[in-house]
Amino acid sequence: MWMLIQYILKKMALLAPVLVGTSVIAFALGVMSPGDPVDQVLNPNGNESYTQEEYDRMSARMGLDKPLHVQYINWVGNLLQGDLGRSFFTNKSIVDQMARRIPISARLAGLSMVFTVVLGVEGGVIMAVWKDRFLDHLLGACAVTALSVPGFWTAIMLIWLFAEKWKLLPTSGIASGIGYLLPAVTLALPSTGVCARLTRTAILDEIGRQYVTVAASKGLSRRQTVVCHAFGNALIPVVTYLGTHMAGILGGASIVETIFAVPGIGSYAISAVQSKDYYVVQAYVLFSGMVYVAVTILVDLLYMAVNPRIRRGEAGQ
Amino acid sequence: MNQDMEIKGLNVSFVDHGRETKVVTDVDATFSEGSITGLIGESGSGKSVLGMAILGLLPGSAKVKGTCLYQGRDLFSLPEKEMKKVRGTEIALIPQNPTESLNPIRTVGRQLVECVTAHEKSAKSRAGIRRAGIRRDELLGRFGFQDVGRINGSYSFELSGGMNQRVVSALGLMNCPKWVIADEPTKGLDSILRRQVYEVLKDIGRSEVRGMLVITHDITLAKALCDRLMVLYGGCVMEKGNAQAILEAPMHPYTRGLMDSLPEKGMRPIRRADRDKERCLAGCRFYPRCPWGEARCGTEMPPETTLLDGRTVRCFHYA
Amino acid sequence: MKLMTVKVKVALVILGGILLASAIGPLATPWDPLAADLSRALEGPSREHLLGTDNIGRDLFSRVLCGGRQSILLAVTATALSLASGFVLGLLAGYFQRAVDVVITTASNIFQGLPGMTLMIAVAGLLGQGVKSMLIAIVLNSWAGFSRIVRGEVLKLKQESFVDGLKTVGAGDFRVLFLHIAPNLLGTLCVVFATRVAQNVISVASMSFLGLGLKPPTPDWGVMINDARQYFRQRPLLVLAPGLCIVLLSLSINVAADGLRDWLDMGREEGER
Repeated sequence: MWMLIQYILKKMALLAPVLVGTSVIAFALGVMSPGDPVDQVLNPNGNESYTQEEYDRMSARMGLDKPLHVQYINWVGNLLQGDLGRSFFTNKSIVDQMARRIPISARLAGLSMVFTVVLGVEGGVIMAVWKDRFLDHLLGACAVTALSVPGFWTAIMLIWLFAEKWKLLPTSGIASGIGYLLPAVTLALPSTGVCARLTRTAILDEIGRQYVTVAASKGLSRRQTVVCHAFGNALIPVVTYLGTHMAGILGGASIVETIFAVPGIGSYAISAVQSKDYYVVQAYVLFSGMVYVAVTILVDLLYMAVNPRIRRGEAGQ
Repeated sequence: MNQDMEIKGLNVSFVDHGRETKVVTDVDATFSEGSITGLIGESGSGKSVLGMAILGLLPGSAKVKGTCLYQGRDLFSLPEKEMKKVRGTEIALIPQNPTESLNPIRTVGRQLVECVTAHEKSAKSRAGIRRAGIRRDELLGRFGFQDVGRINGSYSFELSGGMNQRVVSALGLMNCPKWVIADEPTKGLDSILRRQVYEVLKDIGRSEVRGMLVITHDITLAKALCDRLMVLYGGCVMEKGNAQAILEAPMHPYTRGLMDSLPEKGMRPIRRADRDKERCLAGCRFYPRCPWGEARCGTEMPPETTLLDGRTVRCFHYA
Repeated sequence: MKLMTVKVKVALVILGGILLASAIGPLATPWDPLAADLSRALEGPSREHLLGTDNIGRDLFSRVLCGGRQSILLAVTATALSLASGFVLGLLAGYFQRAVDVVITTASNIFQGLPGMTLMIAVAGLLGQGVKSMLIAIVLNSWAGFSRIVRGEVLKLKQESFVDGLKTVGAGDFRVLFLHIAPNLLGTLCVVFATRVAQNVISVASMSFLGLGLKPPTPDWGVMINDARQYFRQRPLLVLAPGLCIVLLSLSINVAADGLRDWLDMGREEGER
């Protein structure tokens, strides 16, 4: 157990620079943004006037008169206390907003992940088993089409078909749980295509290995050798992809969330970008970085579950 | 029922983007019940391909022609569903390259038990698995493992090459097959273990199985283990017959060269090979290296000639 | 040897068609793609207007014909820039290792870690709408992928003896880098480049759709879909036609890239034997 903890700590140490770098980028994004935050606070409607003195006072209160590195350190300090600041426009605490939105995005990401894993991995296995046969070509064509369709277009089409034409599902919003269905399908479509193709290639690579032939020499069928033997080894690259993908949709489902009016992290970020809401964008970028780091660690743990070489080798030494 | 295995006119070639490479040419052979046959020859002579062809486990790019009669059926034209039942129960494989032959993410013990559970639905029950476990532990013990429990829980990458070699030997014998094809079963073993392994193989070859094919380039092993020998060169059978007779008095120039190159016979090398030249040859594959070569050897394939002691030799010298 | 499967041929024909239409489109359109005619808004397909008209009476067919021009150009340029920067950084990281490698790899981890689309949206949003910010956004988003591949390949190639051989005859670091390692990477990079272009076509369209990319009067597929969303129920073609164009473009690039990959693999296999 201690080995395990050590292993995880080592991985986290490797990821620390990523976290720091993300925070620098987040901070820089805010600084580089074209709007003047002091002006926005003093003059939210664009028609109020203020004196230079008032401006300087506000600027000092917001800590914006200090040099950049000091501002960065202050910002990180607040961050570590769980304070991400307040939105310029709504004046609501960003942390509260995020806390309300994260579970929604997580649910959406989770559901879409289920589709991707189930359909993508199964599709890849079927394609590998029936390599160069009709089923392989058919599913292969579906997969490449799926990953070539832009998400926003899928979203419009699905809304048109399921919500407007057949009136089966709600157009937008997540008032009922079923509202998650269409956005999740939209998000899952391209990743299912990628995942299926990846699984196929990975399995075919493994099938060429000798241990699979030996498994067949025991009298296992082709399907059994693929599922019981090649699959586990092929899972390693697939898990990597699914990990980054999970991180991506947890924070990056912005377009789909916006079209389906899902009040998650992604749509929050889009509206913040559109209204140039300085702190919200920062918080969002930071959040994405944290999710990435967390998922990377999770993927490493999954590796250990899948691959005894890491479990016994790297963690043991 | 007659348990002989009879190969007729076996030709194997690999097709790679429309180009065909012949690896086994016109092999006729009968492996009779109760015998251990050694397939000897250098690497690339097609001996492993021959073994895998019998099991129907060549990659998709291989083209197999000919017949392999076994229990009244032709194994080469058997549908995959039937062939599946033959593998492991009728004919089992002791594969070469043991470390690559074992799945790196499954324990060795589980992979051994699977040889049995792959076949019987009932074997998947707890009792079946227990019986398979007993068989496994017994076999591992016979192959010289002391701490069987630890081996069962290990992964292939945690064991040495020699240990994996013995594990895959046990793997081939797990399901009490009628025939065993052992591909280089003593590779990578030190002399003590090698002795132990061939004792076990000999014992099993004599008592438990109907017959065994041993693919090897270890002539000492062939001498100790086999009743009959088949010498392959460039995918052709050069000489076959009684093992003792061939080893004592080799007839074919290639077999002679092979024997002369043994350490105890003075280690005289055979002339250097030119594989590309051999492959496009219409005649005898060994011609470019042959000390007795005549003009027609290069253009005409010598026929198999049966000699008085029952062996056959493919050389004009004896025709 | 079969050079091209039917699938790849069809993809290349479609791709060629789209590229040709985009190249000569503005000269061949039956109507001015920008000319509005409110009296003929939202018409269905007719002999005059092959695909009908949009909400302010512009000819849909002419607009679709010109609609790929800018996004294709933008996607290809942005991908080429990402390739160039990723290539150089990846070579440096893989070849010199140590500190250089740590810095570049960390940076590429950060950029790969941030969800691509939103990073692009954030950058484009903060720098203002327009071609320049889209270019920057896409390059920021896709350089890391290239640099990672290049770094990996360089590390693999460095293991091979010919690089050591070159060093013993006195070849300098940069000579080895650019003259010997770079050509070995060409095939892989071509495939990745093509796949990435397909992705970036979608990214450009998405950003235009969000109103962060190309500006509205431009006849662009993404912009057109956004404009037509509310009239979709009346005239589905307004969304279907440009959408299908994006799908066909990205699909044909992806299929062609698959073909290229298979073809390169074949070459490699034969070279080995």
